[in-house]
Amino acid sequence: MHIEHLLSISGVKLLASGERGEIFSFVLLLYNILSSDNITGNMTSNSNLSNMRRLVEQLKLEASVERIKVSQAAAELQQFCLQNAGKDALLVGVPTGSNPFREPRSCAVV
Amino acid sequence: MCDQTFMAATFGPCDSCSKASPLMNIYIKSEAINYCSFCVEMMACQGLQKGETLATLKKESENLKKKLEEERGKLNDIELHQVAEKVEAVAALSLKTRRVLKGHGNKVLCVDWCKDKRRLVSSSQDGKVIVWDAFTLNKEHGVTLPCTWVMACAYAPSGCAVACGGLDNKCSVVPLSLDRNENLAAKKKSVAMHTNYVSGCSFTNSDMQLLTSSGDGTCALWDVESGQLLQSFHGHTADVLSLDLAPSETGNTFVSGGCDMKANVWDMRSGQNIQSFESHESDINCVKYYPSGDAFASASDDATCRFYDLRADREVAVYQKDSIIFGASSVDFSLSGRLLFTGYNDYTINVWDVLKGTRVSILLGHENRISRVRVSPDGTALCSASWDNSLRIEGTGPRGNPTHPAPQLHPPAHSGRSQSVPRADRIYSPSNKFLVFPWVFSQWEWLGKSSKGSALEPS
Repeated sequence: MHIEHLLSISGVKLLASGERGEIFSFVLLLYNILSSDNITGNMTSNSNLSNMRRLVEQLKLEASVERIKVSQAAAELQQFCLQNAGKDALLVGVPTGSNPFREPRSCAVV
Repeated sequence: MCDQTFMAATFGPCDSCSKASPLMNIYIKSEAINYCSFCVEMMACQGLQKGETLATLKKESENLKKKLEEERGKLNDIELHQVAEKVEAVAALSLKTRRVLKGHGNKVLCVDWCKDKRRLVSSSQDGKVIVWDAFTLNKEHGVTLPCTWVMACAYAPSGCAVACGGLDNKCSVVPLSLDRNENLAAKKKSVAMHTNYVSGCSFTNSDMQLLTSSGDGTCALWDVESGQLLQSFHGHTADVLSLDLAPSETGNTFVSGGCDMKANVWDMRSGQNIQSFESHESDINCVKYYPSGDAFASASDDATCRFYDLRADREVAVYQKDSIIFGASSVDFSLSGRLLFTGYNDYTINVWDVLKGTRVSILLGHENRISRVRVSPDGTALCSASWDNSLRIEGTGPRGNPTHPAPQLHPPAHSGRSQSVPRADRIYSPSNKFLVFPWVFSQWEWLGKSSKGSALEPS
């Protein structure tokens, strides 16, 4: 609020002296400071209010999500693991011949 | 600072009062609106309903949070590791370093595999992005970006382009050409623009769309061809450090984790935050979906990794140990989802059994903190990128011939409650509680190989 008052006062004063270019840059400079400080005064309470409202809406949405029991979810996770365990090279290993990262071997030309 | 709204200082006619003044470019429900600051205030005041004050809204949010916890708690009838008691324990892993990729001049920050299972792209602090062929150790392409700290890189699904971004607040897509002499940096195209650093990027199912997460607290979906913002995702209250797309072909959700200790699941089409999980005690560094898409894991600076199930809407497992005191920087699942590879800031990678919650193995060898671990698309190898300027690729030994586990040498007293991996190679402090960094080791070894360990048996 304080800064906005200053702005309007000084803006008016500069207008009176007729230096348009300076007013423009001065206004933009102060505006930049205001925005980077996340705006003081009325704006803060309004943005807090809208943040809180958004939060409440979000929580209402999350509360309405359909949930299943952990035992069922865990059973399905376990089933997925066991079903795919055979294909998991890092878990069970691969036969030496097909390992793409084996040591490069030299071939003897017969 | 987190920019919930994108503020830019532009000057022009206000959309509502038509006066020329400095404008605030804000987004309401993803629509860009240019109002002068007076009109923004007026609009905010109009939104106020009767009797709604900050205090009542706060109380309502507290009540809703409590209700949410209750609802989640009701379904917690059993723990994951209890369900998995009957499952066979994981056999001793025989992981060996197969390749060491040296070539970066500074800390390697990110790595991603190509869908062809042999190429990798990695990015580092000095601004270099290198595409490697992991089988032959060839460096196929190298791009130098004008910024340092390239924190995110991703390979396109087609293999024809890579995306990279970092401190320059942008994410650029570089098409890879077969012509070796072509200057790739010239063809680089800026796709994403954020107001703070880009921490993670990923192509969606096609080359045409790119998803990015940023230090400004938002994630965004971009069209690669036009550079247009398709959807933005607001909800984090601090830097977003990581994101991961759901694995299914038709999936249109992704999960993101950030410095506000929350992991959020988003719907890509509507921009809506579907679910949110807040159980970590510090910044979440990395999130990764389980291969089936029904769950995800997260790694955090609080030295734990947690496993969340999406359909049960809660955390189902915590992977932690008293001896692990350094933050976890990265997680990835093996192909079947049974193993969880986690990279830590104490230079090690721990391998956890996802179902039972126990640690199966420790991988040593890096000489500085691990920044990223990634399992290859066909699950045959694990690539780890580290601040020691190198990348290591670990693969398995031959089937049916695991290296025998290390003999039980003086297991430390404090880890009696869990199956501790025998630490023949660690140096313990007199109270047996603290470990000295394993930086003395320069080779990846399964701990069974006693040749290296014998010199340092605790006396």
